[in-house]
Amino acid sequence: MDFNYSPQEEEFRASLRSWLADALPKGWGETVFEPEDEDGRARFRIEWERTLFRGGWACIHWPREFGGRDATLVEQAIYAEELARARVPEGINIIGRNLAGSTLLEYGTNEQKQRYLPKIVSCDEVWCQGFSEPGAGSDLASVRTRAELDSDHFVVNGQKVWTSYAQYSDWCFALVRTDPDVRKHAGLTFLLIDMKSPGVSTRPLKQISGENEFNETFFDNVRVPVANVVGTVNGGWKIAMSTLAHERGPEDALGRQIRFKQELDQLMATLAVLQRDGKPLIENPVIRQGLGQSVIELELMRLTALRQLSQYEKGIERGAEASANKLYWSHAAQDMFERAIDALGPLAALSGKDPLAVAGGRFQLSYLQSRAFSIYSGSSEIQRNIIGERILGLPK
Amino acid sequence: MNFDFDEQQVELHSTVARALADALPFETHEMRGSDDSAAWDMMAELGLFGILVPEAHGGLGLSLVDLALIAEELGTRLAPQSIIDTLVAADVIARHASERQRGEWLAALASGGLRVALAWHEAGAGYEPSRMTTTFRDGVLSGEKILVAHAAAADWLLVPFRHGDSVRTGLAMVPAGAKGVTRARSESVDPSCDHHKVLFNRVAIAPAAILDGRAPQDAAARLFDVAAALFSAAALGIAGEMVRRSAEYARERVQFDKPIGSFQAIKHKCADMYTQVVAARAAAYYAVCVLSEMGEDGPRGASMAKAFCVDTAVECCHQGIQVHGGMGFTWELGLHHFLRRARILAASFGDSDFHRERVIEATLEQAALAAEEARSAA
Repeated sequence: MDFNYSPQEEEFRASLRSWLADALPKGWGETVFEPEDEDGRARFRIEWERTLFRGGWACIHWPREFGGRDATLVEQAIYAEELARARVPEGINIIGRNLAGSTLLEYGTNEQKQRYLPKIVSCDEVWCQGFSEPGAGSDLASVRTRAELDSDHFVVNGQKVWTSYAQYSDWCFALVRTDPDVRKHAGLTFLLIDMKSPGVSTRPLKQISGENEFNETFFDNVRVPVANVVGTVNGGWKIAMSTLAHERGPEDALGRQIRFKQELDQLMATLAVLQRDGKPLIENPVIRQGLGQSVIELELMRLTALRQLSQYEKGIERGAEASANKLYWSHAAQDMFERAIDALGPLAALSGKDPLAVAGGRFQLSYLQSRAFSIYSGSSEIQRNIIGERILGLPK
Repeated sequence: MNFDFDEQQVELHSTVARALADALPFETHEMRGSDDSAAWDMMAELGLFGILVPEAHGGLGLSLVDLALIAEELGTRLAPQSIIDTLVAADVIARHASERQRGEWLAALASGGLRVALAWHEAGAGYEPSRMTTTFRDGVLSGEKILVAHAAAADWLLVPFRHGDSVRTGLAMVPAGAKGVTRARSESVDPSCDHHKVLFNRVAIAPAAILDGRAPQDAAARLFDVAAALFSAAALGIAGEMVRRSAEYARERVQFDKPIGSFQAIKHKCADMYTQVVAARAAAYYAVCVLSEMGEDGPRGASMAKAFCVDTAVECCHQGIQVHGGMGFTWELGLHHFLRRARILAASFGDSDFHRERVIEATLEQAALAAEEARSAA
């Protein structure tokens, strides 16, 4: 066990740090922030991902031949730390990088890798995920979107839901039904769909936060080349499960942890200034207890991810422990935002542009957003079933 | 960087785990009572008391990281507290005692021939040594300590004190039979800890008994942090054992014609316990890692671990008893032994509130320092 860095690793850190200092807008995080309107913010985030790519700092753990830099585990950890330190903007192509990319690296043909991966790294193509449907949420294998073979194309009909960033996406990876006559898990295919194809339409879904990050996506006789199947026809379930494991895995957790830590740092800075009864809130012992607990829980989110990466590096196979990851962080983060709101007292009721809103209402917004954590990417109930059955050996 | 154990560490653990399982069958836990000899003899035979003792003094010259999985196993098996106490003493003496003191104590410690009980806690004080009422002035130690485990069998008591009226602290190795030392058995929530109240009534202390090697003013703080980290590992062991027992019971116990583990109300409880234990593992292992390197994050790491692991252990005991239903509440099944021990670990070397406060204090200090650095860089 060793938390020390080698001279090469320190050099990696220094070069990333100095690159970030130049790449971010002057005054970033202090006087300069992201655009407030959603579309402007989306464009800003896409542009940031392209900046990362131009600097050679996108998808660093991917192989060089697809635009990555073969980053080691330690470099990934340093990368996460430094991005957090610099409070970089969030990327919008997180689904492309973490899910589409990881899945294609594992299951894609060489042609597919050559075609799609470089454009994910460069953020020339943004991706969305077409898994859930109105009738297939936790019971994902019940998807009904049909894909029927017509010579060298599939014709896709159906509806997906909760497709985050579909409005900005160029591509969608979807789980579609290619054989309705077999056991439900056995008739599914993992298909890459060009969002510009005729017959694809999206409709924004307003979330409880008031934002329109996710959508309904409709497929009406959309023609998709057979070459866009990942893996085999009717072999999509296994691939979808691997995609979800990436969504719940330590690489994803390290990236998210940065965001949460930034929010917690911001919360502590805010409470150091905000006064109640003539004293800064940060001196209130009840608030301090909650903050202390959140510091611990977020730090353990990072350390657990590092431990898992160390084990994967040794060759231990990925399994259901990713569910414990996801279950853990979703509740740790929700607890943190609840504590943030609770700490604000009467000011917790004022949000958005109200002149008295604390920190521009960001904690209220984050709090509302956080309610999704225990639902998306497999609800907490589903994660508990997976842990109970696959890790603890409890009967179905 | 690598955040996992190496092969030797894993191998050492499995050897110790087997030996401990043989030495401490759960069925005889209660019968053993305060008799800690079975585990002591086993640890001594394997040379494990020498883990933290340098090779020059007859030890194995290993680190807290090498000890982590063993401390966890000591928790799993509800091993006597005197073992961890003595291991903590070895760490502190190896680091903070003078060459002469090291010569006097370390070899005996390594062989398992010297039992040290930690006399930290006071009924009227918190956990900060600088606020303790036990004082040392003019060669005389006075004060009263509680929760001293297996004090009756101890050869030495390792006692933190304040120098006179100052906040400066130190550590004294006091022979348990010294004149003016009175040991009285306490009624403990966990009788297997054999807790004692120890009165130091104007005990004359030779200068040679005060730890005076490198940075003696830091010795008490080091003792506290190492004890917190190893108690965290023991708590982790208890939590893991409760998950194991609960899942096993839930697989076998049938109600409504089904194993109760098929019901989500039970399954989800077990999954939540497991998930907390995974996080607690990272906490405990991080703590031993930063403490063995004397890194700057040592105290904060110890506090994160202590608060989280102990909370996890107590919660897993509560939920584990619930999963076992009426059987869980029986004396005979014995789950209460884990809960009792978890409560001792929780109350000792900083409760969770104390450690959370230490974490937030250290975090805010680090943030202020970072902001200062950023300002001076700009």
